[in-house]
Amino acid sequence: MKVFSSRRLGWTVLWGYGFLVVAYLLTPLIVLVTMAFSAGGTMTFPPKGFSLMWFPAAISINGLVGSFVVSLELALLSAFFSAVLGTIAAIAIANRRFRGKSLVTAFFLSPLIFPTIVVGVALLQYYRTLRYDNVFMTLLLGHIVVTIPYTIRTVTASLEVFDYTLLDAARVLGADTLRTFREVMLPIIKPGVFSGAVFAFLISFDNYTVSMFLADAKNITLPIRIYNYAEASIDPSVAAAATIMILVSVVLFVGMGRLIGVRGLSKI
Amino acid sequence: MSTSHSTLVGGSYAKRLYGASSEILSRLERKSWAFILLLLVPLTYLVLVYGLPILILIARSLFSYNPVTGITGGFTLNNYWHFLRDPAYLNVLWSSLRIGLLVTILDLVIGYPVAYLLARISGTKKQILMACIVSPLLVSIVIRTFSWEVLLRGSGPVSHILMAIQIIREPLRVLNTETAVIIALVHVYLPFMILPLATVIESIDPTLELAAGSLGANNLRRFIEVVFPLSIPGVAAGCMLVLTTSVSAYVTPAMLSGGTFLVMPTLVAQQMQVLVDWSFGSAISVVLIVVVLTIVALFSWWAESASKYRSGRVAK
Repeated sequence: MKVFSSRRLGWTVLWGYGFLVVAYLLTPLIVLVTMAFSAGGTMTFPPKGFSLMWFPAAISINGLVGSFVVSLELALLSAFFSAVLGTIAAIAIANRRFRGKSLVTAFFLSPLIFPTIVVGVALLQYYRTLRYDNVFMTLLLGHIVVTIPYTIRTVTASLEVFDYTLLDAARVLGADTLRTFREVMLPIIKPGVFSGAVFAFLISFDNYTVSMFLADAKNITLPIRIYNYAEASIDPSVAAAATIMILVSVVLFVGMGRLIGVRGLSKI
Repeated sequence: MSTSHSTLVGGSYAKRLYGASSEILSRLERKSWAFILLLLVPLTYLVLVYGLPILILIARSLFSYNPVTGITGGFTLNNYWHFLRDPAYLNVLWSSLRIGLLVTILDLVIGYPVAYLLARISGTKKQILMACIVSPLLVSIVIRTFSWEVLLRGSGPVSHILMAIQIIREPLRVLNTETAVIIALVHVYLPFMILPLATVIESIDPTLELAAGSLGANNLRRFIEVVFPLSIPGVAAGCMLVLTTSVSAYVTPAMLSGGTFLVMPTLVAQQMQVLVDWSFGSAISVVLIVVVLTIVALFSWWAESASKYRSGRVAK
């Protein structure tokens, strides 16, 4: 009986602590979002009055909308290409044994832990050496590198539960390789491909460190724009811009949660 | 005996079954052109846009460089000597390691109980807690760091609250210090610690704890002797993730140091963008790569030996 009650006390303490940590995780964001609705001219908390005036101000920040479009295009294209390349890579390495497999897998996943800033520096030097100066393409190629591991991981995870005898069955029934892929494998690994693509989108949309070395005046991504503006301004328009960005991410994530479920998300 | 044990056996049985069939499959496909092509497409891409640029960066660090004329002179280790001889640069390396280690330890201590809680609950409660932990990851790191900049200002809310409850008398002056960078990094990387930890703790059979409890072990002893040793693979994974990412973090130190001190990534950026010394910048990048790879090697080794220990224990 004593053991039981001390366990219950332990749980209460644990839950209380859990609430504290969640508060710590969420407070900075809640404070920032609250400031976006301030009626005052400076970022103070609690905000002075309520107004929506800083949202139009945020949208009219010089170049913000243009940067949003650049980042959106970049993130969509990165998500698409890293989903394609990541799926191909995952199918190639999953459930096969070949010489150097662990080395190839480590190489494919290494951008996850490799210092992103070094990727940026290396790409800057590489493009200069090759005299390649299509800035949007340099950004895209770099973003695909840092997002590929996410799609490889999610697709690999969905292939782990894939029953490979289905492939034999499809072949016996006369389907060729392409049809087997399209009609047997793809429908089953689809959630993995989609969640990988959404992750790739978010990682690309948020990337600062690769972009900062490659961006030029015409192709300033949203994180760079907000960084520069945040350093210089004191009014709540940055908070409003941040609130809009948070909203975009949350909508995307909830959409993905609908698609593959919270349990699926937690596995990534 | 236990659920996790039986699923373990079932899992390996299933693997053997499918393993056999996929072995037939791979024997058929091993030399097929389709497989080689599949592998070559992503491999070529990553070699051209990732592997090769890094090799060139490493090569560049071994030559002296003149921003006007390009590469001058031959092979040299001067860039590395330059870094290793100057106490100022070694100090930057030490700051990076110190900040990284502190952030990792704080995240482990703060995150462990939450990971345990997350692992031991289910249903709606679990989904809500999970959503709360994951949701900060959705917000741009620039914005998360910026919100700390606002919070920690002398005129900001934290300062006001601390003055109101009379912990401090004068406005907070933590911005532009290492403390501010650590506070923000702990916040930014906490989910990276909690998630791998929770995954591993979830796989520890709860009946082991009940058994320890029925044998008279209290909460603390159950934790020290049962849960923690079995969760070491998760501790290693979480620490590796937090340490490598915080050592190579750029945005947070750049925004919150206010230029008063440097860490390795901000030093790299400074050399590349302000001083335009590409060879020296490359050499510092290589030092950063070596640091990160060393961390990965150490923690992988630790995780591996821990999971051997773990499987030995579970089997008993």
